[in-house]
Amino acid sequence: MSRDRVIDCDVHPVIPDVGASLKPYMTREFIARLGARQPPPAEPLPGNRFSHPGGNVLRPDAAPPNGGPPGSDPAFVVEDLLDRYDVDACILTPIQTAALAAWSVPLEATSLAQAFNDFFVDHWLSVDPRFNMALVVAPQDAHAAAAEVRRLAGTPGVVGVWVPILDILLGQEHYHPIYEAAQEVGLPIVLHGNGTEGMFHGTPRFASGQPRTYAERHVGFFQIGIANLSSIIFEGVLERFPTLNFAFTEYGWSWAVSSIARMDMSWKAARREVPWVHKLPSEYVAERIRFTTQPIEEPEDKRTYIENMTRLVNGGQTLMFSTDYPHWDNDESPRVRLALPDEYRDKILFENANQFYKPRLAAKVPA
Amino acid sequence: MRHRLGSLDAFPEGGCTVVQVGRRSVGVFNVDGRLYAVRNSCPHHGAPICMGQFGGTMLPSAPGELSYGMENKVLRCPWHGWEYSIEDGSSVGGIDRSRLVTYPVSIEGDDVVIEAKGL
Repeated sequence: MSRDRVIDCDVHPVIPDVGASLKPYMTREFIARLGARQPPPAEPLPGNRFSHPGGNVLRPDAAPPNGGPPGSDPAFVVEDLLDRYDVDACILTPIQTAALAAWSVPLEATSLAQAFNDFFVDHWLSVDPRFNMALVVAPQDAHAAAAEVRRLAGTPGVVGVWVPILDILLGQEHYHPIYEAAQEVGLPIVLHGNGTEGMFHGTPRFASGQPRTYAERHVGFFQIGIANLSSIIFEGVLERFPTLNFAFTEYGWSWAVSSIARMDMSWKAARREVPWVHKLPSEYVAERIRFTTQPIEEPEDKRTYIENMTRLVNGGQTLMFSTDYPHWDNDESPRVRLALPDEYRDKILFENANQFYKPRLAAKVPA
Repeated sequence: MRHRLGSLDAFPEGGCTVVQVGRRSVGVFNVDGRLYAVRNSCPHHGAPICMGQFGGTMLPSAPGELSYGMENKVLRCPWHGWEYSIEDGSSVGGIDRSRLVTYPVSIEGDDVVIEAKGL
């Protein structure tokens, strides 16, 4: 059997000491403004909302031998993930930056986003040509975010625009300047849980009330996927920005089977309310929306479930493989790849992402 | 096959009149000086579509814009709201590949006549 071609669409690089690491990339003004702040003198209690019951989400076995937290040493990520599993390319989605969605002052969030992006370009993209990244924007000030997109659009290895979601649905006008810039420079929008949902004002809320535990919240992420997918479709974003594409990363995807069917049903009944939606939502999704695979759900009859769900979500077009390295709920194991239906396997593991992130990614992976 | 549905007086201007023709329920619309006849059965679930609202609709438009049109051409099913043109039976906006069955209709003398097979 020939080797699998693989693009991993969700790898989290970690900055061990954010303050010190970003300092070289910040202006004197923001160093003065942010550097003056002190953390609380003592942590009065263990982490409240939503701490992983095991301590944190990082896998201890992924800790670099030279010290630092898992995911913090790019050379070790090359060895531990890319080489070990023979990965052709990966998309870095710096999870720490997503917390910018919870930042209260847009000016500061914008400055931090710039510093984060410059750090990852310098410290990660230069290490291995298989590293590609989604630049992050601070979404509070969408015009400043658009400027950040244009600033970095030409940087080799920058293949997408990560928009941490606010408590504003993605179809709404607030995000238009970001979409306009991303479309102009030919980068897709990358979405990923920002980790602060249900924790701070300004970030997405969970449906129907506040969950109390990590377990509930881990299930509830797909609520945010459902809400934002239908917002993007029914607000007409894909008509307003006709060449802009979206990737839902780590929101799950089995929900999309039901969501897409339900959107089609709603559109047939209520098209006159959203006349800017010109075709079946399922058609827009097949053409323009992608979902990453991790975490693949594992019910008792896993084989039947994955085969049927993959087919029903049109996975030969819509799914892109991801591991979520170095997080606990990863899908690194070759067993996960083997669970994918043969007929879609190469599409999901490689080709769909290759098409989605073209042309910037294409130079780095085998044709 | 031709079916006489009755005198034109029985189909007042401005609305839909439902008549039974053999096994079929047929809706006859007398609007804007023209007659249209459709099968009173929605292609979706077979609902009595002629009991639904009749008028115009929002035409496909650019995001953020509204454009009302097809006045007196659109029949909306009372069940799921699917919309069809009474002119040619096609769905509005491409929501359904199936068509509402329409019948050629004419006036002969004082009578309304439709052409239909297998009623």
